[in-house]
Amino acid sequence: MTRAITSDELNKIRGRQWTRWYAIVDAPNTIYSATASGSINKADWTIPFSGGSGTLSDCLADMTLLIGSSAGGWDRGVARLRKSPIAGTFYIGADDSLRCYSGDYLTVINDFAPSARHPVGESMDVDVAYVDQFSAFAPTPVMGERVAVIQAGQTIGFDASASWVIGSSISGYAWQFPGASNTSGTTTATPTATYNSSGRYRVQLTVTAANGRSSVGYGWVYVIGASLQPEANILVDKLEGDADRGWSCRVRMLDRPTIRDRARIVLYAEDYYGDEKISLGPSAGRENLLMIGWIIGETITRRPGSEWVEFDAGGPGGILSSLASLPAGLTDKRFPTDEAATLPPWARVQGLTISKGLHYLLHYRSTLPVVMDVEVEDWNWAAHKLTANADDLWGQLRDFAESGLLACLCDRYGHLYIQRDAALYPLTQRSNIPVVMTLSDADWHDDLSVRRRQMGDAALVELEGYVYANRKAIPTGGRSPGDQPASFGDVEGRSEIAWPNQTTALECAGLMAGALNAEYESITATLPANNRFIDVAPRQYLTVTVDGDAIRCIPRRVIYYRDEDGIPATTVDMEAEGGQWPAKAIEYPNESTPPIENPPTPPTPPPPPPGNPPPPEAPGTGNAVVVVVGDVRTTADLSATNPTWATETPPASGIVDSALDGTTLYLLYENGLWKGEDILATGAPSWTQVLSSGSYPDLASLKFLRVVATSVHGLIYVLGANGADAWFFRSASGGAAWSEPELIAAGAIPTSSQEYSYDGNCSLVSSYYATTPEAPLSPGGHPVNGPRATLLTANEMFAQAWAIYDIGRPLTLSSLTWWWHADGDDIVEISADGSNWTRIWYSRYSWASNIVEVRTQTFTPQTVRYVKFLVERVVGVGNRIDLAWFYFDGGPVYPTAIDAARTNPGWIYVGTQSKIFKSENGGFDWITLLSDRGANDIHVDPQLAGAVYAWDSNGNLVLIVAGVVTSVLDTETPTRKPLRLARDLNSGRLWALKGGTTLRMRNLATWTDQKTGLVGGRGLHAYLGQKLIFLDANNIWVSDDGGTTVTGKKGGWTGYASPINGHRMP
Amino acid sequence: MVEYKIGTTLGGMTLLSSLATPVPWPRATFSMGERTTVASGAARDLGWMSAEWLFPLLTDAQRDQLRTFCTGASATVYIRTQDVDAVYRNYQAVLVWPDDEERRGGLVFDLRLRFRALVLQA
Repeated sequence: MTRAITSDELNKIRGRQWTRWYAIVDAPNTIYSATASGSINKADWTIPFSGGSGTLSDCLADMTLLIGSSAGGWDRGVARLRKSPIAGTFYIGADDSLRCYSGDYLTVINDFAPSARHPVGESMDVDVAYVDQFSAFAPTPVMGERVAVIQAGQTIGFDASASWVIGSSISGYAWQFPGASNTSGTTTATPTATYNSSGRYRVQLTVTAANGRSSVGYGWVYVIGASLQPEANILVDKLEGDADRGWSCRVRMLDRPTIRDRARIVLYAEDYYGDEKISLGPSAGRENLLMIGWIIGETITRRPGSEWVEFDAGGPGGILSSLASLPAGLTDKRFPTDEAATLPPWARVQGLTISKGLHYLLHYRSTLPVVMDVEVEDWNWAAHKLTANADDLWGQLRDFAESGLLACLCDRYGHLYIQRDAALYPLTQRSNIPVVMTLSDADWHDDLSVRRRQMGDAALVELEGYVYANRKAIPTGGRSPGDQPASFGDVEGRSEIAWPNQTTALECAGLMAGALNAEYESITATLPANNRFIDVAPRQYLTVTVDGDAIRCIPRRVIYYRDEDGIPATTVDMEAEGGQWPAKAIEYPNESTPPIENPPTPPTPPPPPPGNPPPPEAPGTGNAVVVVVGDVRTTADLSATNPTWATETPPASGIVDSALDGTTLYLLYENGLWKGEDILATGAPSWTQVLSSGSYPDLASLKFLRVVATSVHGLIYVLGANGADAWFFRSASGGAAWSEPELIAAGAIPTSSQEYSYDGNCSLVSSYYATTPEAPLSPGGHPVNGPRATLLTANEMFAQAWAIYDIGRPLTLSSLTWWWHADGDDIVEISADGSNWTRIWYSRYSWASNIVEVRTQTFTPQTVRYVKFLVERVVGVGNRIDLAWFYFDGGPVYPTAIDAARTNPGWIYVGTQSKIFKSENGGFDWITLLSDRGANDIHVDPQLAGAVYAWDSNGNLVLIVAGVVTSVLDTETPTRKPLRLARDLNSGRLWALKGGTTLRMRNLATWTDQKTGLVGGRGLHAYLGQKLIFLDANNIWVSDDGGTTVTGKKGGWTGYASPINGHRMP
Repeated sequence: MVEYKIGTTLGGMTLLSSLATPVPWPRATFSMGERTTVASGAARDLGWMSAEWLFPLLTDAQRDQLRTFCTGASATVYIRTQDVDAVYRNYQAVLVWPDDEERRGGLVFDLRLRFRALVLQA
């Protein structure tokens, strides 16, 4: 906390004053005590215990557990409860130095110490498995300040508004003030609590984020009075803070009190300005606080007749420097190091940034958010990897922070700020940095020491690192003042900086050179004043006038003194603010990819080079597999007039796509991919799930959309979507292992509401007394793709008529809107599978009126793929039902177009609603091939990897060669249904299911309608020799002559409906 | 009128002459702290106010009477003494008992009681 001193405060600081300092050495009460009934079980890091005094449920995660050979002792060690205990078992953090024997005394005290959490195996802190911690980030509680010292009857406030969370927002605060006499605002960021009795009180804050995660932080209120007195016989005469490690002090105690190791120490003051007893400081309610720290060192001095002990106390920087920590490293999930495929989940972060790395250290490698306020300035710099080799927590925080040019700074209150140092803060934003005060001649005495540079400190500053984007870490650096160094000074440099861009690298190099060569190197002033507004953190300025120039200075070292007569003094070492020197980009010749430890080579297998195509499996004469939404069937008798279809009983209904690789069939569901081998063997295959959306918790609401098998055995591509992002999944081992998901394009999928209309997006799959299209009856103005009508005309009294539409894929709907003109009992039903219907509307006809209406019907959200409009008891021959249109909010329009080249399966094309993307390296890198159109179906030419056919979003069937639309081959009403294009390897012919109603063959630039009258045609595949298979709502269609002769092969498959895909087999 | 008082509470202060064993008036001095001059030339008093009572000669009984207010090296007491403007005011203070008393023949010479950390009382 920092702010400018007010004029009233300044007047007091410049007047008569004295101060008296006190210390509280924290002595937590016992929460629970028990006796160990065994030693530490290092398999699961537990301690068995028996007996027990206290309430076990009061033992909270991260509380301190003392292990001693005597009651309350800790000679065996001080452990941390890594989670709440259960009867008979304490769970502790892993620490091989701890000892415990049966009969030892176990004491849980009411305190939470800064501790490291260690990875154990692939878990964190012994048994915390990675679930979704890097996708739904935990919030970090910031309580304003964690400690307060007040008198009984006083009220203290907290301010948690600086609590933060990555990728979400703070949605709730829940404060607990046990022992308080009165509280207010306990569900707000700024509560208050009043304490009427002296003592030591715990404060608990639970912050909740909008992403559902929550975190707990603890603070302490020390209420001075009969039950809590500061330490007697204590001497502290100096506090010192420096920018590198924060605050420290030495406390002399004139006797040998029993003080727990690493106990918290709270120094506070009683201050007088004039005759007014008042403390002045930047943080409201904490003006009397001098320093919060922990005892980190002890010196015992004995002299004849007397002895004393001196404790070294340090703030966060001091204690964290003493906390050992195993090396920490994180890699962006998309960074293709060889190791990335095998890195444990705790080492991979989607969209790694500096702040995400620091979040990891804070929440999962330490207990810091539990015990202290930590604020991280988020400059949102992406990093491909972050590595901390320091062996202590402080060093690791600094390692991660310095990758983003951030500094770890601690103030007197034990508040850790990880932020850009003022010297490197952008010039244009420095007006945002508070100026605490302007030091004038009324403020200092003795000497004002100004060290002026005759020679610069840095002849050359080189800041090097990488810009990480699109899965590549590109070497990037800035050199200031340029390639030629200045005349004086050293070469200063830093490396491994995760730059956001080259511009920032130049700016920062220039700022660092400017700081290291500022005219005034340092200014030291001693203020005969009790001025506790000046601190080394957070970022702040003092203004000093030197030679008539007002210079903004950065406090780098601050020392507060007081002597035995209560005389205060403050010494400040300042560094003059620098400017910004020019800088030049560092060139990295012959470095198209970064010189990093693990070059970004794609994981196995490397895409084979273009060349002779692997010939597709020639279909035999008799075998086929057909997939519908809820069934899979095979036949070995396709040539028969009425083939027999054997059911292969899929794992579940809801199939959205399928792919055949040899005799292995892959079934794709929105939440996973299943594999059935030897599909023709007798009996249903043993289905194995080889891909699950649940395996990617980082990709919330991931849906799988399409699967492609490329005829290279085992090479499987899956297209998926997560919100607005299109994702690509690849397995080279038949689903046994998958490479990391690759982002095809962020924001490629419009997430705004998308209206579907029956004639634009849906297929009429079944009807009775229905024709379409008919005269335009739409009232107009509604965004349907061309007004069409389905006319239902009854030819007899009380006739029935219906039309069933296939949306094309299951969608979760909660409403449907339609317009119709009906003369009967009107019924609307919806279904996920075309078999089981839910009625959402029923209206009995009234003779008195025709129904002409636009109706929106809402219903419980459910999966819908089929919509049925049904009219019963049409009144009178010739009366009719006009269904003009229906539409619904279908949510995002997910991409359905994907195909890979058979000549080089590393070439993959994906179409979304508005763009077409291409990868040339097996899906690791994606480029936008066309941005003026999307595609709902793509088919790669079987001989030319660079040529693709696509039903594009403009309503054209186009041929795209080398990224250029070379031909418009056909047109149709836009549709988003896939699997309607096919071309066999060597015939040169192209087949298309235009509009889902007609099989067309293109040969020698001429189209021929081979089969008309189809209903919702899809699942078209062509094989060598012009052998075709395709499906529609009514039949399985097969041709061995390119469509000249097309024969329905549904045979004895009763209940055939909801087709997905058909495959002819070897 | 001379008003030197001492007590363990503000309301319990008693004129030295009214103590159970009356004590003579001391020679009192008062300090506003340590004077410091800042760069502008202005003076500033730093540190706590202090007072000193010097008793040139006390009997042992009178000394012991005063000692009841400070049985150890120091004690918090309340006094009424003259400030630099010779105005009597009440203060809370830390009485520091001298560590080198000169005592001979039932008498105490030049007993110097130092009152530190004076806090003006309303």
